[in-house]
Amino acid sequence: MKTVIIGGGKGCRSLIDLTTGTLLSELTIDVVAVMDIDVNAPGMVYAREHDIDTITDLHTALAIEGLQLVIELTGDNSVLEELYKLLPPGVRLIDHEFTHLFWDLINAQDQLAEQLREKEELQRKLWLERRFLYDVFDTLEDLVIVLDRDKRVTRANASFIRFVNAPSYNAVLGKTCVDLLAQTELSCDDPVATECDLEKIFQTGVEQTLVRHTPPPHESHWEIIRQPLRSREGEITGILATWHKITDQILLKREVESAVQRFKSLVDAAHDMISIKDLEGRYILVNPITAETFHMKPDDFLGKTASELLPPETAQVVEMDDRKVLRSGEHMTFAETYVIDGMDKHFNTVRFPLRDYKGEISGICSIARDLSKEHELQQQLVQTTKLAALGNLAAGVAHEINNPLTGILAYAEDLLEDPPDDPDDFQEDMSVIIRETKRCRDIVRNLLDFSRQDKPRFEEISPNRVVDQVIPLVEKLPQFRDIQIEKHPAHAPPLVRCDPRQLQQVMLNFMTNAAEAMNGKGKILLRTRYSRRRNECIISVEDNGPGIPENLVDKIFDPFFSTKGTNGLGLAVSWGIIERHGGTVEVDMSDNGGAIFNIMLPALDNSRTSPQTVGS
Amino acid sequence: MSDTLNVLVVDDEQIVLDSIRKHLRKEPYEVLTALSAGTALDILQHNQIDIVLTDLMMPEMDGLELMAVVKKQYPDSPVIMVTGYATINTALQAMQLGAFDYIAKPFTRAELRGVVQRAADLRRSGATSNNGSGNGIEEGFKNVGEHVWIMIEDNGNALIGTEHHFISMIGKIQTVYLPEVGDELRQGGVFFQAFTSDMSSHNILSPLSGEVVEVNQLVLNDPTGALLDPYGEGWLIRLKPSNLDEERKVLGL
Repeated sequence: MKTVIIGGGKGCRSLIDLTTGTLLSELTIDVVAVMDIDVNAPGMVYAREHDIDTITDLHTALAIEGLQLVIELTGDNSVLEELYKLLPPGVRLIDHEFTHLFWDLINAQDQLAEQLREKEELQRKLWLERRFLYDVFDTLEDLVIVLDRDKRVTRANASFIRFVNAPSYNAVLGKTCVDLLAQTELSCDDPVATECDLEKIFQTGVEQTLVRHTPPPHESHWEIIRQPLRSREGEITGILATWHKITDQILLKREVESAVQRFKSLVDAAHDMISIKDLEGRYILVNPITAETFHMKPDDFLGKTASELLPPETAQVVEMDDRKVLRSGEHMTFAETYVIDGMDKHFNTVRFPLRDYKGEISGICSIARDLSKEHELQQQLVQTTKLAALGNLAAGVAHEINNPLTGILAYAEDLLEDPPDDPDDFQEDMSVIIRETKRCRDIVRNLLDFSRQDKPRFEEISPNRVVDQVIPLVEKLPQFRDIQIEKHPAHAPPLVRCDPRQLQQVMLNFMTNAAEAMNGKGKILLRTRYSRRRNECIISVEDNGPGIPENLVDKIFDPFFSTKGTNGLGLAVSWGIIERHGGTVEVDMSDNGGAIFNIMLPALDNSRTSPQTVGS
Repeated sequence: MSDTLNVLVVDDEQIVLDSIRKHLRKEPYEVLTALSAGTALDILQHNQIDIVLTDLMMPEMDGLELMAVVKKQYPDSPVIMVTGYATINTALQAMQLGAFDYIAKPFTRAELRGVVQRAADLRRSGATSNNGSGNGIEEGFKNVGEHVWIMIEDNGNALIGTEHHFISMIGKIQTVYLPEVGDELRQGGVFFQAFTSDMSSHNILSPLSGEVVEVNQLVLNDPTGALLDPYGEGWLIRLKPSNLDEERKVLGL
């Protein structure tokens, strides 16, 4: 409808918008011109911007060719009256009163536009949310589909589509899962698949879970879950089916199980007694041989402590050694004696802490090997060796003692048969007899020392103290006149059980040897140390002499072995003494080539806090 | 050769050298001493040595090694082996290697004098040690060293006697000592002792262990007469050996 607007106010502008908008569908208003006497009225300016003619003269406006409608917006009744006069026939007029209708329409349009905008915003949000959910759905490694009432696929995630090797999402829609899976390793031909009863889910609404395995070599394991989907009204509308791959868990579980089995067969078949205890000393595991040894069943041990189960002496050993291991936190080896059936049995036992995943000690494991037979054999061997040593000893004694006896016999016979006139000669010969007799006495005495079964008189004493006491003994001896004696005591070493006098005798012996090796000039270092690993106190006598030739190291402890014309019993006696102390003697070489004799004695427990007895 | 014989004594202990010197000081010997085999060889090189007495066990060069050198370089000088502890093994070994005799420490003056006397006689006679070649030994007799022979009888008993050579060397026998029937002998133990007129004593070690089943009374009653025929009526004892097989091996029979 070819229209001209009279009056270029603000209303004119809104009206132009209204007519160019979509709001008026039935009435088509085609504004061809705007008339106002003011060229700069807002409506006039707006019209020009929209390529609509502007007219300042009413007559010209009404003379527009084919004009069908005039809309009067001036609100001026005189203008209206004039319009009525001039309006050509057939041209309709909407006056400013009626134009209120347009303003209502415009308001309505604005409201609608606002609603529309809100709706669009909501839709955008929904779309994003949906997109997000789809992304999540697709990134799931699990295969997920949704089936409708006819058991056809209505949704599928990317994993499923990939798994069934479908070309696209659409390609799986409307198909049954049986068809889709037919060519895959999860084909429903498998007997387990028969447990899958979708119809039952629709009927009962109860979720189904089953596990599928596919055979090696491409072994895989799946947990399959089918859950009913319900409408808001609670009606079952479909099924959500998920295939969750549990191959790794299964393989891991299998590994764990076989490890457990291996461990169990190993432990059960072992000839050694193996047990594991918790930190309170309660048994968690014992192998059959352990139980058998004590005439029990493995289960009898569980949850109980050694002192509740074993003979008191044995339990004491076990608990004491376990404590040591827990204190040290390290592997330790013990020579243990258990009383079994009233007999002493000798075990070599390894004890070590067990640690949890955090590395904290959670228990203690012990492996005890019965060395009773070996022990017995060893005892026999020791006995045999002793007998052999005795034989050597006898030969040695004969050899050693026959020389002085030769002298005694010769001198005595001579004095008897042919007494010298000179009393000095007489005295001289007699003194030879006495000297050689004393030599015999010393040999015999040392021999007794060597073979004596005397038990040492034990005291519990710091090794530092033994060292302290030995120094005054040697300081005054002439052969130590030019020997510098230094000591390097350990700080608060544990106590040792020893006969201090015997230990001093041994040290004295080593020191005398050292002094002789150094030709009476040099330095002797007395050192005490504590070896935590071996739980031993070590007293060393180190010299800066020439050391011991390598080919003689094995022989120096043999009775009667000597390189210096003495009876050669000193080191053998020393060896015997230390052995009776449960210790050992080792020979070593110092950095400067001198000899080191290490006396190693078992340390007493809980004695590290002993008062320091050594000055500088 | 002068009347005075030079005796070289070798031992690694001074007291032994002094003792032998003391024992022999009244004898017509010039005693030279050496504390080692090395020194001994030095002395041998620069002196006329008639008799060598050497200790068996010495550091570095031992008595047997020294004897080997002496036997080779000075074959006319008898070597007497002095042993710290006598067993038939060491004694036999020494004898088989050519020792004139051996003497075990500790020894009395008489024992030493006896041994040295015999060596001196041999030296003066100009003969060399026959090294147990068994002059005049008859069929069935086995000689052990230079002093003793044994003959195993059909019933397993052993007849033991002394060598002619030994008897002729020791000179006039005054008394002899022999074990009694029923005594247990040990291989290497002294079983025969002859005391000669010069108050020397001469010992023979038993070649076998066993029980004495018979003692030749003839020897006890008249040693000089009986021992004129040491392979016949001069046999010494009859022994029932207790460990014959093992001990024969030791003896090298």
